[in-house]
Amino acid sequence: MKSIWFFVGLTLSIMGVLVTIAGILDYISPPERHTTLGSVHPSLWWGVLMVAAGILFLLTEKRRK
Amino acid sequence: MQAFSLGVVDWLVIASYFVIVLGLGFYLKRYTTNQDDYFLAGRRNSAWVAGLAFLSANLGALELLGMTGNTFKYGMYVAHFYWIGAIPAMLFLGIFMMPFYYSSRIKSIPGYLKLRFDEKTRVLNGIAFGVMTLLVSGINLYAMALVLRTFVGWDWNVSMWVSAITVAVYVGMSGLMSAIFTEIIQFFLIWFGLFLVSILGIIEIGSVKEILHRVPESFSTLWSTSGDASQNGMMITWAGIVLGLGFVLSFGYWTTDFLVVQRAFSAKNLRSARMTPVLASFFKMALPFIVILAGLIALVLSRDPGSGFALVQEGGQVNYDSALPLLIARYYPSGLIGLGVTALLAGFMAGQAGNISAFNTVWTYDIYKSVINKTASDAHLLWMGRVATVVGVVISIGTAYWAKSFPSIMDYMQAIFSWVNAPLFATMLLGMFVRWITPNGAFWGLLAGMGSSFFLFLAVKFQWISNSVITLSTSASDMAGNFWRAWWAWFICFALTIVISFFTEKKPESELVGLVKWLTPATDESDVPFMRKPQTWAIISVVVLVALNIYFW
Repeated sequence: MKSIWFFVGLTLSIMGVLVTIAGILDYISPPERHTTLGSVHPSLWWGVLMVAAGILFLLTEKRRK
Repeated sequence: MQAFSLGVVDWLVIASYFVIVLGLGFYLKRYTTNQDDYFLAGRRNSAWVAGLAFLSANLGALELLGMTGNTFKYGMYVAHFYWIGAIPAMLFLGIFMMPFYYSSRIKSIPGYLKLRFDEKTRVLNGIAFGVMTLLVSGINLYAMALVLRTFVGWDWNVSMWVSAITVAVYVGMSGLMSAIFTEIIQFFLIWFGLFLVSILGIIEIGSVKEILHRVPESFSTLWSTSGDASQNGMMITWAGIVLGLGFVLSFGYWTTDFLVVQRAFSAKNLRSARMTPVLASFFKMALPFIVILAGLIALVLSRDPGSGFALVQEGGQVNYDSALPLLIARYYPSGLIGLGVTALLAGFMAGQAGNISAFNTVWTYDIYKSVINKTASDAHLLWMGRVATVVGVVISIGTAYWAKSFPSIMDYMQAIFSWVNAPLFATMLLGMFVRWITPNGAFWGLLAGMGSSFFLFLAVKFQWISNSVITLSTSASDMAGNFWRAWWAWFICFALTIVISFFTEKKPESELVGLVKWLTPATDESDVPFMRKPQTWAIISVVVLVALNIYFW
């Protein structure tokens, strides 16, 4: 049976990729709705951080096996 | 009012959450073959898994929204809920109470009452817990639909039915295991989905120091204004905080509420079960960095006319629960909005799954098998657990519709908690640590404690007596009333249980071995390394707790 850390890694990776894509799209074509601190592109770096965390959990599961 | 506007990526993030939790339910079903798998997750979880689930079962979205709003209203005093109002009780559970719970191989808290006292005390608590759990589950469902309608514009019925059916499917298939897995996913989603609000708030305002500097002085301290109730936002003295919240409400909840304690029962051995609440205590202490910080950021922004930030007003009343959603709308662009909504959804759904998985266990063992069908087989109990899950979800939906047509039911929530948990803690404390407490003393003391809590709530609500009579203070908030009512319910149960025990028949001591402190051999941990002992980590946790309280004194 796969451990919970595999599913945590999977969830963070999938959602992180989606958030990163949104960040890239906003970077290329700035949205009409302006958010406070939108200029620091939080979607982009937070999405990348989530993907990194997700991969870390997936690697933990792989090493456990 | 609609704060969020969702784009395609936001919808994809939300959809992926539903796919993952339903997929988990299907995946785990093949590993759920008997009643231990379904009700206790096979008793194979590590302390980390059980510990994160233990914390997450308490980490509902309603609490996140409510506590952020309360921080806006009361200031840093709300941190007491996370520190003195949680940590000592969690450590007490792990170090002193868990050996009796875990070693007696019970499947539920009422199961302990049966072994220590008798069947009638077990059934009384089982019924009270079952009713409380379904009411909480239904009101949680109603609150979720209300939040999603207010801030995302979703249809009330659709959001309620979709989330309820999803929970019924995955809990129905694999019971406590899927509830625990989704609770841990929820934990990470809440951190990744909501902590960014605090980070961006700090960046906008400048620093944490600047945030504390810009709120009223009484809002940025924990204890220094607690000598006089009129000097702090919560209008409570240190005695109310320590006795009501820190002792009765906190110990009553963390040591006896089966919703959270069930997660520790799923641990693979006694050491892991004892480590479960100890590990959870560290994560609990970190939560104010989401909740309290976000509440203070909202307060600072609302005091600055140039920020354009103001809480929602409904019918002339400030909606404090709108603080967190409005911060999400302020800072989160496309993609992150979906993540924020998913974090809230996950909080609501995991909370509901926790309630349903606790309910199906108590119903199956403490009411059905105990009263209705005493000879039920393993396979029949597994079937009954699944039926109880579906019925529990249906009753929750009914309760949610009831709450919709009768919104003041929300006012009764605090009363329900102090009605069941506060007196039960007195019963458990006496049962575990005093050998001569009798079954009749426990039953009548518990009944009187539950009754007095409910009576005091009604007496203040309908102004039969003044709140100041209960709180021993001329200026007191509703929150202070809740703390003090819990204290009196505990005290009445405690005192009556002792008095009645003097005059009623005791259980033979031979039947109490393993259930009462002075009749049970101490756990032998001589072969456990120092840094793997629960006591070591409990001491570290206390040191961190004291340091935090001194720093924010």
